[in-house]
Amino acid sequence: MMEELLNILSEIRPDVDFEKADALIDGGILDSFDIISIVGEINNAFDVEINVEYLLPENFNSAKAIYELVCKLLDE
Amino acid sequence: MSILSIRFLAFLAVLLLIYYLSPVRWRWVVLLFANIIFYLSAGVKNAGFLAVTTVTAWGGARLVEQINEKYKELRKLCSTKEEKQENRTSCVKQKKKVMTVILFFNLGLWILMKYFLKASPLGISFYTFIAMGYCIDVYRGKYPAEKNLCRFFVFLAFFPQMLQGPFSRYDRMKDDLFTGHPFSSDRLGEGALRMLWGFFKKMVVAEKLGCVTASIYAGGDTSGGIYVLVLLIVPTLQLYADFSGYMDIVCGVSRMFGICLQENFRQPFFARSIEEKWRRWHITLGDWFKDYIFYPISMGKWAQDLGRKCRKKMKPAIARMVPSYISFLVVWTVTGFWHGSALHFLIWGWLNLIIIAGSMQLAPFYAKMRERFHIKEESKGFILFQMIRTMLLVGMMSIFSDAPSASAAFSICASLFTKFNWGLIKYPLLLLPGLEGWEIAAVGLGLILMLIVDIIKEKGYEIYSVLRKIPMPVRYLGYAFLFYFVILIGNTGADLTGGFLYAQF
Repeated sequence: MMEELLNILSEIRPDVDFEKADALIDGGILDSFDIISIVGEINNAFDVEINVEYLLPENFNSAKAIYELVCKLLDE
Repeated sequence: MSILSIRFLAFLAVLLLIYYLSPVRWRWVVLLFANIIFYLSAGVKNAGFLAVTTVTAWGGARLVEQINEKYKELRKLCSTKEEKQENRTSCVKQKKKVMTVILFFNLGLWILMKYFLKASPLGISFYTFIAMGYCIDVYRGKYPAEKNLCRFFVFLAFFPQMLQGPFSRYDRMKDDLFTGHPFSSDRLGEGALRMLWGFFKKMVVAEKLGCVTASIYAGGDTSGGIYVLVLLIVPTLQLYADFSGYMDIVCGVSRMFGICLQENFRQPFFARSIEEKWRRWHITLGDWFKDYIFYPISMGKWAQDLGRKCRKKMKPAIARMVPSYISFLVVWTVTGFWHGSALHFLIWGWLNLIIIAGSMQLAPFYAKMRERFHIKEESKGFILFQMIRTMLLVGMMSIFSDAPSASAAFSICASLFTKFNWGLIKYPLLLLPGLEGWEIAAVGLGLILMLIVDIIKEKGYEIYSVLRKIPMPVRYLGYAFLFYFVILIGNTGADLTGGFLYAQF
């Protein structure tokens, strides 16, 4: 699943190394346009619903954080 | 009953007495009866529509929660990931069916009453949107649904917010509404003072500025040409005094009961861009559109599919913006439509969109220009320039929302260059038609007071603490001065909406 997630992230922002980056939001690497595209793609690919309540910097600062959020939603 | 009437003040006084004489745990029941009496005073037919929205939103949210509980139980029986996934998908499908029925029914009723029958029951645009927001929050699992229909009615129909909002959220309001509050003379005094300030802003400043706006829009000698410049400033100040005055009154009323209504304004004239202005002006409407329209559409399947297609044909840097811009377009179309179905309201919405989107796209260019001309972004002069520019843009767009039609709005703008009455600039008082000299002085004083209050708030001070530092005789003289102006020249409005500009929406 992590590999699929990395593919989605790279497709939206090919210029970012998502495997290493750990301050995607705090470091200003991703902006709101990116987050909206990423969330939309994740909702579609993993059949989850990341809604407004989950749009917090800590959930999107790294690929690992996003992965953990998806796992949490899949487990609900 | 108009909140500017003596009848309302008498109603409030009796209500406060009963509220604080009742046992704390039953005080929310006093509010329940207050809501019923307040709304019935607007007519039984109006109350029928409110009852339908209350019952359907409450019932729909309860149903969604029951579906959630049922699937939680079923989930315990699932052993594999696939089974869990299937259970979740089935739960979401059922919840979506209920939500679709509830939202379309209430939205349909609102559209029918407002745009087709042109007979909007009092507050329908506000309570319908508050009810829909509540249902969506329960659907998203943000908080549990309210089990008690009467308590839900106390929230949805809370009488101070019936006329013009704000768009309250259940999770923020419920504790204040249902806990009950011990009597506090400080809170009562602060509430009364805020009400007085609201009466002054609405009945003195807004009503007098309204005479200028009406005279200019009425046509004839006092319209077009140089008067367009007046339209860039006066109607926006009028709307601010009117709407924020209303907010001061209803927040003051709520404070007397120990209830904190969400603020709708945060010193909007300090905004440095149109985008920032919308984060400071009618805040609860902007938040509503963001949470319940912008995000669901931009992160929804349709916009994302389009975004994916665009990524194959365009540069990723441009394609990634497609879902957001589609959503922006919908939000600003709906915002225009919410204000009215005529074309000029839609143009007003789209103008906002064009300016906001343009500023976002041109941000790197602006940064380069600032660097080239050695302009410091945080210098006081540049900040002041941005504030004035924002205010003038807001004023220019307001011509499209205030004019009777789109063609009239274009004609008014064009007259700036075709009607040559610029000689009037030598007689500034003539540029404010509809007002006597002493009224201009009163309004000017009012606007200066409003500016001082906004500066104090912008600097982060709590206004009541600042007032307490002023010697008591001076302070009370100031309150008496406000009261005197309200009684002497205040206009109470002719109908039960009190003539508030936003009540028409």
